[in-house]
Amino acid sequence: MKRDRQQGLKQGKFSAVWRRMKKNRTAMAGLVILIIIILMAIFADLIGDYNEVATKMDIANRLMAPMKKGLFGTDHYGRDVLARIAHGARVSLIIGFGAVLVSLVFGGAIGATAGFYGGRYDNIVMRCMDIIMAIPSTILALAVVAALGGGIFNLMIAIAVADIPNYARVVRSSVLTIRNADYIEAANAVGAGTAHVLARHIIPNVLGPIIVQCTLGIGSSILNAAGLSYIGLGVQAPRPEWGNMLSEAREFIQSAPHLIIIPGIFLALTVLALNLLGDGLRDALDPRLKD
Amino acid sequence: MSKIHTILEVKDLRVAYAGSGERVQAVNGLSFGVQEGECLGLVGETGAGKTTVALSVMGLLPERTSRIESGEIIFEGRDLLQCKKKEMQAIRGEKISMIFQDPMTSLNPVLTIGEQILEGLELHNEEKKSREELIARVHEMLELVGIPAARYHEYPHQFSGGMKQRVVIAMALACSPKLLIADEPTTALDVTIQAQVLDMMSQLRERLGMTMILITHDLGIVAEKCDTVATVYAGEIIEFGTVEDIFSGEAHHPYTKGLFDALPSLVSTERRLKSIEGLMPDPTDLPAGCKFHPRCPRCKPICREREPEPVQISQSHMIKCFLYAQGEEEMGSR
Repeated sequence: MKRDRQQGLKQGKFSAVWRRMKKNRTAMAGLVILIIIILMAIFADLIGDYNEVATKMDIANRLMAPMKKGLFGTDHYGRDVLARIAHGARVSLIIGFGAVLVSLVFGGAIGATAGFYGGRYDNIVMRCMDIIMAIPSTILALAVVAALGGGIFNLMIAIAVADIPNYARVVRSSVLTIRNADYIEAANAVGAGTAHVLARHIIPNVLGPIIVQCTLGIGSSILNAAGLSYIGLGVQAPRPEWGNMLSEAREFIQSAPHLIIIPGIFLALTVLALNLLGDGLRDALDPRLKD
Repeated sequence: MSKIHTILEVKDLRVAYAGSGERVQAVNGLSFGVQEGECLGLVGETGAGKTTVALSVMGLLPERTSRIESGEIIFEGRDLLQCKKKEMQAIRGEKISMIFQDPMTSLNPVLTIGEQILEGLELHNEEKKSREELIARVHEMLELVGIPAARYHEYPHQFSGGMKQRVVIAMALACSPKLLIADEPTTALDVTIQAQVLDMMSQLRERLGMTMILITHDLGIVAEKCDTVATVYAGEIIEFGTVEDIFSGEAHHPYTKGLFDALPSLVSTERRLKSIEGLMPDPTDLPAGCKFHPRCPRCKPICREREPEPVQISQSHMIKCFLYAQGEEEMGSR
């Protein structure tokens, strides 16, 4: 009996979530793809040194097809595409995760307080969010980049700002439905304070929708960053990034299509992997869908 | 009956809800006392203000829309209405606990039931017990309410309604409160489970020496489980007495009588049940005089004008009705 109890204790939440995740094949496929891309980004220097391979021009070997020189061939300056993809993954992933983290922290805080306190505060804050939402996100990001200047960090902020209202809305609506639940009153009845109720009861309940929103958000942030780089406002050459690789390859779409196809595939794969993982995580996190 | 100690006393409580422009008088000068160890039943129709009384005692009235206009709620010599937020938090769960109506919704779906019972213990852990000790206490509580301790790690959706209500009871009793307020604890359960849960509650009450306020509209439950009964109508107590006074006494408030007439009887063979004519008065526009007069079959002119004073029929039995007030006067004049 005693051992039973202790085992039960050790088997925490995360192992239960992991056990349920493992059963979901598509989610696991997403996770595997994502891990491969993350490993690629981490070990980019082993795949090809930044200065020696990824950004070094070698005009003699320009526009080589995949497998002829390197796994993915070379671009119009003779740079190795595989190395550029790997270094580009670093930038894309940092921007994707970073932008989501920033907008989640700000949007989440705004949404949670608005939902919890309600009243005039809720009204004012959410109308501000509506104003931000009314501006097309690309235009807003353009404006922020124009004001702050280029660079990875500014690009991250630009994308995050446009996303804040989405998180605020998701979190607010979840908090609103949960705030009036009977179990919140029951928690009050056993003597819980506001902070305890928020941390113990409300946040775990809104986690599901937030995680889905986040994984989808990382994908769209990567796409947004690529889009901004594509029109020349994001990451500046010669630093490789998937968006500006696509942009540079435009001229060679006929003669060297792999320059478009390869970064495109990586972009699509990353976003797909994140979406699959997000769906799986949401199911795994909800104890009601257990087994 | 050596030492009778009043554990909770509510004096002239008035609570109003302010909705969109309207003022709803939910509780109008309600007073009662509960002796230590006894079980008080609050009976009345839906909307009579029973739950509002319970929430006032707990200090859980919705802050934005409700206001306590007057009154005192004295618990162990302290006026709860004067307590600060922090003090109330310390009392809630530790000294006074509450069981809510619907066990389906009063458990958090994403926490295991063990964690939810543990919560109250953690919040009131003045003795700085270790987590293991607290968990041992949770296991003890689970066994006490008849749930195997091994189910500690299961989630609410894995339990049936009756079992969930047991979990809710275990939550409320975990800190061994002095006073337990049960707000229609069995309304959401089916009849066979009702009996089980109620039996368990009264056993636990005797074992733990707890005082209980049982809110219900089921007179059968009151007859079986309560020591004293208060009939609530439109935010007032119109009759108060021991179970014997209410169930086998002679004198009754016409409303209480109406409630009893509405019960099916085993003896008579009437085809239809009687009902009390009319509806509860609109709490935004309460009638003058006795609040029951528009529905009262024995209404007299004075009932429309003046509010009746409480009349002591016997030492334990109080009725708020002119029928008995006049009876007294007549007797006095003879």
